[in-house]
Amino acid sequence: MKKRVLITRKRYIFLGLAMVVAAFGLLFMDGLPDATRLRADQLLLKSMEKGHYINSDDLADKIISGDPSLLIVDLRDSVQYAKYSLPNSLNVPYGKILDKDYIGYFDQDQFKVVLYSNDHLIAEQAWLILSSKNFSDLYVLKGGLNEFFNTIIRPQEPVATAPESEFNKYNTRKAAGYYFGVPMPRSVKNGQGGNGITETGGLLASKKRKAITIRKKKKKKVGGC
Amino acid sequence: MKELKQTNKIFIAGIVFFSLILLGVLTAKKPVLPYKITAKEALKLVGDTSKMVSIKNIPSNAQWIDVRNQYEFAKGHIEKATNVYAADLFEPFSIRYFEQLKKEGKKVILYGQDINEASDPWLILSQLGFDNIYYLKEGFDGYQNKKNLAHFRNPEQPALDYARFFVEARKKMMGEGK
Repeated sequence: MKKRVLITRKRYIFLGLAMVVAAFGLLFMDGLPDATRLRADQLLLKSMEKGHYINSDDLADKIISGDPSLLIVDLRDSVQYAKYSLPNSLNVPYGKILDKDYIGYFDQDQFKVVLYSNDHLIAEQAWLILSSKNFSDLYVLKGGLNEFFNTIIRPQEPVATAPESEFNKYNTRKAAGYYFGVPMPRSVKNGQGGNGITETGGLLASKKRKAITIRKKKKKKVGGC
Repeated sequence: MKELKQTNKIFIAGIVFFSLILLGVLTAKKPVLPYKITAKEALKLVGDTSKMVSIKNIPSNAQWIDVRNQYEFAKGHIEKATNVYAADLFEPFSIRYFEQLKKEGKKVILYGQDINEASDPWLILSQLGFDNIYYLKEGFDGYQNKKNLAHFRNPEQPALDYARFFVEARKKMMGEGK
């Protein structure tokens, strides 16, 4: 009789230990580096929807109107960034986007983050990697800085026979161009202060960075009961 | 006798408990094709020029794959290319095809209308363990204008010196003012 009680007790202990081990296993599931990655086929569909593109006109409009929910990230190296970058943009070279210091800018739900590079090849590929980690609210500047220059900074004047809407668009873009540092003719400001442009050509406005604080996103748990 | 019954109950409860866990593990949704590399490793592929193929020096033993849709493909395509529309990339027949090409040791070159169209399918396939996949730098547009490639700008090259543009625009306007 005593022996049976002992066996029963042993089994209790064994069961208890097994459950503790299983519970620890659950803890580690969350710690796997890529436990929360978006499935590859879903990622492909998401990229093909093209909903993450923002064009130059929309971005220029958002920058000029001072959209507070906007966070612009320059993915090029620091040399190119120092030479010219969009006003108030933040420099995170694309090789570092997953580093501890920078990942907080992408793993958040506070800002609409617009990624850009010279074309949109690097920005798009970086977007794909970040999206595969299930980060949301990420956008890509379509055509990158090159396209931005072609549309906003030096827009093509439409031909005389073009519809009026084309002329309106041209005028809007030209006005936006002045905001981004194109010297404005007949402006008193030009004579002094250089219209916000330094001697080397960098934008004065872009030197003044706004401080960006990122709230930490609540960590989503995977697994568990 | 009473003790024995209790032991049996514990035993049965234990079996049920573990079989439930086993059932959960077995029926967990597994992706058809899991990632073979982590996101950090995949980041090294971003902008990797060694995976871009130029129309000027095409490797031999290569298989062209057109990732545009079938209508674009029908309008015109690179000779000997096969059409795998990007949206069909995860269909079983596409996967079988890519696996077969890998087994044969062939280089696979993806192309779209421009480099951007092939870049997403390339980056996704590369993460799934297909390391024999490349993509065309000039795209189908470049292939069609083969003779005019002198003006082709490498992807991610700035089209102009942005900073100098502003300096010159200012100089030009000041000159006009005087």
